[in-house]
Amino acid sequence: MYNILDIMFFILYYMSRETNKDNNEKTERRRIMTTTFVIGVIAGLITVAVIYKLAAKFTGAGAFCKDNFDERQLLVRGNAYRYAFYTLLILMTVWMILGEVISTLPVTTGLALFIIMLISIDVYAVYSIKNDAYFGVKYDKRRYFIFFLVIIAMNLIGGIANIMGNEITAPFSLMECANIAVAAAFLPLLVLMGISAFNDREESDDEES
Amino acid sequence: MKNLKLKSARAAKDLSQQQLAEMVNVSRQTINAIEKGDYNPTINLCIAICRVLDKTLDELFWTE
Repeated sequence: MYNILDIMFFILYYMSRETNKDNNEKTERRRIMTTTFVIGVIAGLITVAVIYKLAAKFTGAGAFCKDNFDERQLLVRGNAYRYAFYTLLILMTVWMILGEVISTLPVTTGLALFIIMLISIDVYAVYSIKNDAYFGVKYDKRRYFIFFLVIIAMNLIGGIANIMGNEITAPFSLMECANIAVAAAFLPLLVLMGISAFNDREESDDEES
Repeated sequence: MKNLKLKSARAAKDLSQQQLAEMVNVSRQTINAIEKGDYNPTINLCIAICRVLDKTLDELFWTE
Protein backbone atom coordinates (compact mmCIF):
# COMPACT_ATOMS: atom_id res chain seq x y z
CA MET A 1 0.00 0.00 0.00
CA TYR A 2 1.29 3.44 -0.93
CA ASN A 3 1.65 5.96 1.82
CA ILE A 4 1.24 9.71 1.33
CA LEU A 5 4.97 10.28 0.74
CA ASP A 6 5.01 7.72 -2.08
CA ILE A 7 2.02 9.36 -3.75
CA MET A 8 3.63 12.79 -3.43
CA PHE A 9 6.83 11.41 -4.88
CA PHE A 10 5.00 10.00 -7.92
CA ILE A 11 3.15 13.25 -8.50
CA LEU A 12 6.40 15.23 -8.33
CA TYR A 13 8.16 12.67 -10.53
CA TYR A 14 5.41 12.98 -13.15
CA MET A 15 5.70 16.77 -13.03
CA SER A 16 9.46 16.53 -13.49
CA ARG A 17 9.02 14.30 -16.58
CA GLU A 18 6.65 16.79 -18.12
CA THR A 19 9.09 19.64 -17.66
CA ASN A 20 11.85 17.94 -19.66
CA LYS A 21 9.97 18.63 -22.89
CA ASP A 22 11.26 21.40 -25.12
CA ASN A 23 14.18 22.10 -22.82
CA ASN A 24 16.61 22.55 -25.71
CA GLU A 25 14.55 25.32 -27.31
CA LYS A 26 14.25 27.05 -23.98
CA THR A 27 17.99 26.84 -23.39
CA GLU A 28 18.68 28.62 -26.67
CA ARG A 29 16.07 31.29 -25.97
CA ARG A 30 17.48 31.82 -22.49
CA ARG A 31 20.99 32.29 -23.84
CA ILE A 32 19.72 35.18 -25.96
CA MET A 33 17.73 36.65 -23.10
CA THR A 34 20.59 36.43 -20.58
CA THR A 35 22.50 39.46 -21.89
CA THR A 36 19.38 41.62 -21.84
CA PHE A 37 18.54 40.31 -18.37
CA VAL A 38 21.99 41.09 -16.93
CA ILE A 39 21.94 44.60 -18.43
CA GLY A 40 18.44 45.10 -16.99
CA VAL A 41 19.53 43.98 -13.52
CA ILE A 42 22.59 46.26 -13.54
CA ALA A 43 20.50 49.21 -14.78
CA GLY A 44 17.92 48.46 -12.07
CA LEU A 45 20.54 48.37 -9.32
CA ILE A 46 22.06 51.67 -10.49
CA THR A 47 18.57 53.26 -10.57
CA VAL A 48 17.85 52.05 -7.02
CA ALA A 49 21.19 53.45 -5.80
CA VAL A 50 20.49 56.84 -7.42
CA ILE A 51 16.92 56.99 -6.02
CA TYR A 52 18.20 56.05 -2.55
CA LYS A 53 20.86 58.79 -2.66
CA LEU A 54 18.31 61.38 -3.83
CA ALA A 55 15.79 60.34 -1.15
CA ALA A 56 18.48 60.53 1.51
CA LYS A 57 19.45 64.01 0.30
CA PHE A 58 15.89 65.39 0.33
CA THR A 59 14.73 63.81 3.60
CA GLY A 60 17.99 64.47 5.45
CA ALA A 61 18.25 60.83 6.50
CA GLY A 62 18.69 57.49 4.81
CA ALA A 63 15.64 55.29 4.34
CA PHE A 64 17.20 52.67 6.60
CA CYS A 65 18.34 55.10 9.28
CA LYS A 66 17.28 53.62 12.64
CA ASP A 67 16.57 57.10 14.06
CA ASN A 68 13.45 57.20 11.87
CA PHE A 69 11.77 54.63 14.11
CA ASP A 70 10.77 54.85 17.75
CA GLU A 71 11.71 52.27 20.39
CA ARG A 72 8.54 50.15 20.04
CA GLN A 73 8.91 50.08 16.26
CA LEU A 74 12.54 48.96 16.51
CA LEU A 75 11.44 46.14 18.83
CA VAL A 76 8.68 45.04 16.45
CA ARG A 77 11.04 45.23 13.46
CA GLY A 78 13.53 43.05 15.33
CA ASN A 79 10.84 40.39 15.74
CA ALA A 80 9.83 40.81 12.11
CA TYR A 81 13.42 40.16 10.98
CA ARG A 82 13.45 37.04 13.18
CA TYR A 83 10.28 35.63 11.62
CA ALA A 84 11.54 36.47 8.13
CA PHE A 85 14.78 34.65 8.87
CA TYR A 86 12.92 31.55 10.13
CA THR A 87 10.75 31.62 6.99
CA LEU A 88 13.88 31.81 4.84
CA LEU A 89 15.43 28.85 6.65
CA ILE A 90 12.28 26.71 6.41
CA LEU A 91 11.69 27.44 2.72
CA MET A 92 15.36 26.88 1.86
CA THR A 93 15.19 23.52 3.64
CA VAL A 94 12.05 22.58 1.70
CA TRP A 95 13.73 23.63 -1.55
CA MET A 96 16.86 21.66 -0.64
CA ILE A 97 14.84 18.50 0.06
CA LEU A 98 12.79 18.87 -3.14
CA GLY A 99 16.00 19.36 -5.11
CA GLU A 100 17.39 16.11 -3.71
CA VAL A 101 14.19 14.10 -4.33
CA ILE A 102 13.23 15.38 -7.79
CA SER A 103 15.63 15.49 -10.71
CA THR A 104 13.90 18.31 -12.65
CA LEU A 105 11.68 20.80 -10.88
CA PRO A 106 9.08 22.97 -12.67
CA VAL A 107 11.01 26.12 -11.65
CA THR A 108 14.68 26.99 -12.01
CA THR A 109 16.89 27.43 -8.95
CA GLY A 110 17.12 31.17 -9.64
CA LEU A 111 13.35 31.64 -9.64
CA ALA A 112 12.85 29.41 -6.61
CA LEU A 113 15.42 31.34 -4.56
CA PHE A 114 13.91 34.64 -5.74
CA ILE A 115 10.42 33.53 -4.64
CA ILE A 116 11.78 32.34 -1.29
CA MET A 117 13.43 35.74 -0.84
CA LEU A 118 10.21 37.57 -1.72
CA ILE A 119 8.14 35.44 0.66
CA SER A 120 10.62 36.15 3.48
CA ILE A 121 10.48 39.88 2.75
CA ASP A 122 6.68 39.66 2.72
CA VAL A 123 6.69 38.00 6.15
CA TYR A 124 8.86 40.82 7.47
CA ALA A 125 6.74 43.55 5.85
CA VAL A 126 3.36 42.05 6.81
CA TYR A 127 4.40 41.65 10.46
CA SER A 128 5.78 45.21 10.54
CA ILE A 129 2.73 46.76 8.86
CA LYS A 130 0.31 44.87 11.11
CA ASN A 131 2.15 46.19 14.18
CA ASP A 132 2.52 49.76 12.83
CA ALA A 133 6.27 49.52 12.60
CA TYR A 134 6.86 49.48 8.85
CA PHE A 135 6.84 53.24 8.50
CA GLY A 136 9.03 55.53 10.56
CA VAL A 137 7.64 58.26 12.77
CA LYS A 138 7.71 60.96 10.10
CA TYR A 139 7.17 58.84 7.01
CA ASP A 140 4.50 59.85 4.51
CA LYS A 141 2.41 56.70 4.12
CA ARG A 142 0.55 58.03 1.08
CA ARG A 143 3.82 58.39 -0.83
CA TYR A 144 4.68 54.78 -0.01
CA PHE A 145 1.23 53.65 -1.08
CA ILE A 146 1.66 55.36 -4.46
CA PHE A 147 5.22 54.01 -4.72
CA PHE A 148 3.99 50.45 -4.14
CA LEU A 149 1.16 50.96 -6.61
CA VAL A 150 3.65 52.09 -9.28
CA ILE A 151 5.92 49.10 -8.57
CA ILE A 152 2.99 46.68 -8.95
CA ALA A 153 1.70 48.36 -12.12
CA MET A 154 5.15 48.45 -13.77
CA ASN A 155 5.90 44.84 -12.93
CA LEU A 156 2.47 43.68 -14.04
CA ILE A 157 2.87 45.46 -17.38
CA GLY A 158 6.37 43.98 -17.79
CA GLY A 159 5.21 40.53 -16.75
CA ILE A 160 2.17 40.47 -19.03
CA ALA A 161 4.23 41.78 -21.96
CA ASN A 162 6.77 39.04 -21.33
CA ILE A 163 4.09 36.33 -21.21
CA MET A 164 2.42 37.61 -24.38
CA GLY A 165 5.72 38.03 -26.23
CA ASN A 166 7.16 34.61 -25.41
CA GLU A 167 5.73 31.16 -25.08
CA ILE A 168 6.40 30.32 -21.46
CA THR A 169 6.55 26.69 -20.43
CA ALA A 170 8.03 24.81 -17.50
CA PRO A 171 10.64 24.96 -16.10
CA PHE A 172 9.84 28.58 -15.40
CA SER A 173 12.89 30.79 -15.10
CA LEU A 174 13.67 33.98 -13.22
CA MET A 175 13.91 35.94 -16.46
CA GLU A 176 10.37 34.94 -17.45
CA CYS A 177 8.60 35.26 -14.12
CA ALA A 178 10.53 37.86 -12.09
CA ASN A 179 8.08 40.69 -12.85
CA ILE A 180 4.99 38.66 -12.01
CA ALA A 181 6.63 37.39 -8.81
CA VAL A 182 7.47 40.94 -7.70
CA ALA A 183 3.93 42.17 -8.47
CA ALA A 184 2.46 39.20 -6.56
CA ALA A 185 4.74 39.92 -3.61
CA PHE A 186 3.86 43.61 -3.41
CA LEU A 187 0.10 43.19 -3.89
CA PRO A 188 -0.69 41.80 -0.39
CA LEU A 189 1.45 44.56 1.13
CA LEU A 190 -0.54 47.21 -0.72
CA VAL A 191 -3.84 45.71 0.46
CA LEU A 192 -2.57 45.46 4.02
CA MET A 193 -1.33 49.06 3.93
CA GLY A 194 -4.81 50.16 2.82
CA ILE A 195 -6.50 48.20 5.62
CA SER A 196 -3.95 49.47 8.15
CA ALA A 197 -4.48 53.09 7.07
CA PHE A 198 -8.27 52.65 7.34
CA ASN A 199 -8.00 51.12 10.84
CA ASP A 200 -5.59 53.87 11.86
CA ARG A 201 -8.06 56.56 10.80
CA GLU A 202 -10.91 54.82 12.65
CA GLU A 203 -8.76 54.58 15.77
CA SER A 204 -7.82 58.28 15.57
CA ASP A 205 -11.49 59.25 15.16
CA ASP A 206 -12.48 57.12 18.16
CA GLU A 207 -9.77 58.68 20.26
CA GLU A 208 -10.76 62.21 19.35
CA SER A 209 -14.48 61.69 19.94
CA MET B 1 -3.10 46.70 32.12
CA LYS B 2 -4.43 50.01 30.79
CA ASN B 3 -2.60 53.17 31.74
CA LEU B 4 -5.56 55.40 32.55
CA LYS B 5 -3.35 57.86 34.43
CA LEU B 6 -1.48 58.69 31.25
CA LYS B 7 -4.69 59.01 29.27
CA SER B 8 -6.27 61.38 31.81
CA ALA B 9 -3.08 63.45 32.15
CA ARG B 10 -2.95 63.82 28.38
CA ALA B 11 -6.61 64.76 28.22
CA ALA B 12 -6.08 67.28 31.03
CA LYS B 13 -3.43 68.98 28.90
CA ASP B 14 -5.89 68.88 25.98
CA LEU B 15 -3.49 66.91 23.82
CA SER B 16 -4.39 64.25 21.28
CA GLN B 17 -2.33 61.07 21.00
CA GLN B 18 -0.84 62.42 17.79
CA GLN B 19 0.20 65.70 19.42
CA LEU B 20 1.78 63.94 22.40
CA ALA B 21 3.51 61.51 20.05
CA GLU B 22 5.02 64.35 18.03
CA MET B 23 6.20 66.10 21.21
CA VAL B 24 8.06 63.01 22.45
CA ASN B 25 9.14 61.95 18.94
CA VAL B 26 7.36 58.61 18.71
CA SER B 27 4.50 57.31 16.56
CA ARG B 28 0.85 57.77 17.57
CA GLN B 29 0.49 54.00 17.67
CA THR B 30 3.20 53.81 20.35
CA ILE B 31 1.32 56.25 22.61
CA ASN B 32 -1.85 54.26 21.95
CA ALA B 33 -0.07 51.00 22.84
CA ILE B 34 1.23 52.51 26.11
CA GLU B 35 -2.25 53.74 27.08
CA LYS B 36 -3.78 50.37 26.26
CA GLY B 37 -1.07 48.59 28.25
CA ASP B 38 0.21 46.70 25.20
CA TYR B 39 3.69 48.17 25.41
CA ASN B 40 5.98 49.00 28.34
CA PRO B 41 8.05 52.07 27.42
CA THR B 42 11.72 52.49 28.33
CA ILE B 43 12.66 54.85 31.13
CA ASN B 44 13.83 57.44 28.58
CA LEU B 45 10.40 57.57 26.94
CA CYS B 46 8.65 57.62 30.34
CA ILE B 47 10.75 60.64 31.36
CA ALA B 48 10.03 62.40 28.03
CA ILE B 49 6.27 61.87 28.48
CA CYS B 50 6.40 63.06 32.10
CA ARG B 51 8.22 66.24 31.09
CA VAL B 52 5.64 67.06 28.43
CA LEU B 53 2.70 66.37 30.74
CA ASP B 54 4.31 68.02 33.81
CA LYS B 55 3.95 64.90 35.90
CA THR B 56 6.34 62.72 37.87
CA LEU B 57 7.18 59.13 36.98
CA ASP B 58 5.26 57.94 40.03
CA GLU B 59 2.16 59.85 39.03
CA LEU B 60 2.01 58.36 35.57
CA PHE B 61 3.70 54.99 35.66
CA TRP B 62 3.69 53.64 39.22
CA THR B 63 1.04 51.01 39.81
CA GLU B 64 -0.36 50.47 43.31
